[in-house]
Amino acid sequence: MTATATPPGAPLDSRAQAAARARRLLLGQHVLLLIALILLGTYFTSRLDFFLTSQNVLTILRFSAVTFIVATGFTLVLIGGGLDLSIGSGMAVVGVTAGKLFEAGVPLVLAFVLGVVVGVAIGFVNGFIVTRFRINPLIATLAMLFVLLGVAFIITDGRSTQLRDDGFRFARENVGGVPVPVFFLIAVAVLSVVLLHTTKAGRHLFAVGGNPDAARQAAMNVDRFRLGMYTVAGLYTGIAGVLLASDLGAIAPNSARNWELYVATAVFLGGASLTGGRGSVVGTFIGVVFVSALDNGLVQMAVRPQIVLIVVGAAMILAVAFDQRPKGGFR
Amino acid sequence: MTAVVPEDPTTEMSGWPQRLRDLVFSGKLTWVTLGAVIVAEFVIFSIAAPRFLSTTNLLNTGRATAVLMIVATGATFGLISGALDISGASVMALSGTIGTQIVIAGYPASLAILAAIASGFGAGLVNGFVVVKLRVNPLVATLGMLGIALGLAFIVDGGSGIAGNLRQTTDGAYGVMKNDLVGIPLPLVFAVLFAAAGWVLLAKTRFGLYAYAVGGNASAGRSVALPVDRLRMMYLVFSGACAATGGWVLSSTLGGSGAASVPGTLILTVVTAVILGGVGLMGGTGTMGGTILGVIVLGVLENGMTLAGWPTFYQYVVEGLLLLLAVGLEAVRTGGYR
Amino acid sequence: MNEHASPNGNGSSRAPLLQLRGICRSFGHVRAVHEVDVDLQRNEILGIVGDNGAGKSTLMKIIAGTVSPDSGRILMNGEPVEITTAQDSRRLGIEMIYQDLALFDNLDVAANVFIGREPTRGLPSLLGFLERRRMHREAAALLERLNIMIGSTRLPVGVLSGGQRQMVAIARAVAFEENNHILLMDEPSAALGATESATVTELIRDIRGDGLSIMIISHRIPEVLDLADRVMVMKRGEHVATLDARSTSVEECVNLIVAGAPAATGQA
Repeated sequence: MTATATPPGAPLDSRAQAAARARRLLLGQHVLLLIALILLGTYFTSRLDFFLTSQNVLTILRFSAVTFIVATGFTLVLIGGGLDLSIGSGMAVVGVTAGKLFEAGVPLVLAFVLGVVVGVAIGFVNGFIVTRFRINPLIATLAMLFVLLGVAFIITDGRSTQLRDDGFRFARENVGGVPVPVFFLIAVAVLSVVLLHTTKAGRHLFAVGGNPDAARQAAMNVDRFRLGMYTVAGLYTGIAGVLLASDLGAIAPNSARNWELYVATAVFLGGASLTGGRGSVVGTFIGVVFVSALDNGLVQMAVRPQIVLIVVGAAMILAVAFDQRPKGGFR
Repeated sequence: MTAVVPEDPTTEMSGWPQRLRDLVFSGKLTWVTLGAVIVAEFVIFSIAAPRFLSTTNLLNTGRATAVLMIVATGATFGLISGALDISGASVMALSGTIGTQIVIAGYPASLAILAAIASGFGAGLVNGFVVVKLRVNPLVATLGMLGIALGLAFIVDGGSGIAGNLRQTTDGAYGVMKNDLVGIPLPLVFAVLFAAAGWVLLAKTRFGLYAYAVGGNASAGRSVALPVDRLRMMYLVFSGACAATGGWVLSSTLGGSGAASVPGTLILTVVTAVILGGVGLMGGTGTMGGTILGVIVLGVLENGMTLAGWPTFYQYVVEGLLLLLAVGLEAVRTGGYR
Repeated sequence: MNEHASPNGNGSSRAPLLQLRGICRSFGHVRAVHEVDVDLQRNEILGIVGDNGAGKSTLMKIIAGTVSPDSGRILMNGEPVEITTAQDSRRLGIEMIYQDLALFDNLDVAANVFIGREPTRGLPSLLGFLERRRMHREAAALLERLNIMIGSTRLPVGVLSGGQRQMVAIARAVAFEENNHILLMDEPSAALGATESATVTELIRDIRGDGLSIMIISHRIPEVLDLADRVMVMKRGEHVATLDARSTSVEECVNLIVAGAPAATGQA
């Protein structure tokens, strides 16, 4: 039942508005998350000499880059009212495809481009299943998670192999002291912000996700938006999958297991909503850095990675709980 | 796949989807379809793998499928009440690990079994609290629990993921599921009894009826003064307890288990079985009979594919496609996701 | 504050069945219900009319316990009662039929009629075995007594027509005679065609004969005047007037609804 009884009285109006504005500013998810990130950073810095060194910060950024790229795709899909649980398996398929092609003698650049193309195709298939067969995106992409995982294993015959080629491992390089993946991060961030906030389609995506029926009544082709957003998410999955394979220097079908949990946590922390119509690239970026820093700091404090799993799971629940509080949430 | 039909995608489905929808509209057809699938599986696998039809193998299939049946029983209640509980595999891992470690530490088996199942109650309570009090979507709540329970399981078994084999220290009662009862594997006997009890509970009691009510129309439930939140919590606790029971049965069959003893893909199998059996994604529909048939379809499939020499990861693909097919049929029946 | 005093005000020696006194409820800064008094007599049908947002539904939800008042008192048979939850009002014999009917489309007619009050055997409370056969038998008898035509009590409610659904909701509300005193109905005919709405009106008249007091919200003023004994007019959360349904006219009602006063004279 709803909470009752705001005290009556006329001046409440302006006071309530001011309070609401203050609350938005203070509790606005970005600000709050930023404060949490700073607190987290301060804590780790006080406990670990190594934490706030430029080298470690660059390491965090390097790890953040891959996560951010795929998380941005996840965010786009959430904004449009969908869900994509297949990202981890999608990245695995992309990575092993690129790796196998390279191993078979395909030129490096072509292998990577083909990997990204596979990612786009995966995104398109997700969108196609959801729009054409009207399958709930949660189940459609859960099924795809396993189909793609199986495909990744089939491509590699269930084995992981190392690729000790410096060209293949370009994601480990630095350019001007900055890790290569960070440049991809910037490119994806810019592209996504432009897509979301300057194009008509991007702005309409919020409407489609927030209220698909209303969007239909406003003569928007909801299915085309959905197909588009899954395809763009597939593109990002492709880029992230290639970068991850390159970073690991391996053909590893198991490389992106459980990524869904980390990515979902980062994105929900960043303020996107499971009910669609809400989310931002900036929020997702902060969320990703938060999760990466948490992971990095906890691992350096010699906390077992399993505890990180617990912390991340709890963080996701709390993020969603916090986010849903003003609106009443699941009923 | 079909040729591309030029049509406004926002309109109703037409042409062959419409005909298909008419075909599957009656819910009872699910049972007939699943029955036919099971028969087809038997025919195909007995040709592909001659050993398939032997009594030994069929009993092995039953033993291997027992755990799925137990967990799917809980998931059926959860999903009918409107909560897709995907934390099952991790809760199983946690339950088995706790039980095993307690036996290793030298405590009696009864305590180990109780503690194992209690861990599922605990996980279900937390899930329920998060859904009912924090108003978090059950999918997110149980996805979080998926991480939390698995992490806890790893901590409990000391991070190895694998428990020491209990054979040396075996407390006979904990490993009771390794035995047979008049030639029938005990897990199979237990799972049959468990499923039967689930059937009675769902079809014959208030507890079952209210799962349909809460899942079908929660706001109507509040209007007619049903304790909706308390009920939702109970179904999640029940689901967690079933998963934990399955975890113990697996652990007992293996003679002790660790955090890595439960394949993460098990949750796909559970969800596929339940939805294949006709439980609607949106809650409020489904039967235990359907779930039992769904479990048999998948159990036979896994056994048959293994026997026919297909590696495990081919099963991921087949099961994923089967899940898509199951939900696709449901979408055709209900008009689907819009 | 009312020019039309309640006609049954102090004629009876017994107190009215239900009395509301000074009921207020605000949502934020919107006064949904403000200082409203209502008397409901035994065996009476009280119509409530008013524009959208006049506070009719909120008033009913306060009686049904799904909305709690900010201030005011509720009395039954002259005794003050506490209604804070839907369970409270049900225990006092108050049944509400919501505009959305609160039916379970996936459950059959009998289960809908008995929901929350299923007869069980064996184990206590939730684990008790449902007496399905008895539920179907009694539900069928109830429908027959109320002259409700529905093929079978085994049909899921989702396949019924709008009128049949409305009648199942009414049957559920009157199914438990012994503690059933007051029936609240929010727009029972809003979504119905002419024929169906006539059937529902007929049913309401029938159950009133069974010793039931009814409060009914409706937009269809001729229908209310035809059905009700008295009509209460609300505007912007306030109780404007109570009219005798036999002596008033549609015009008078509409004037009160629109202007808040008879013959368009200003109201303070």
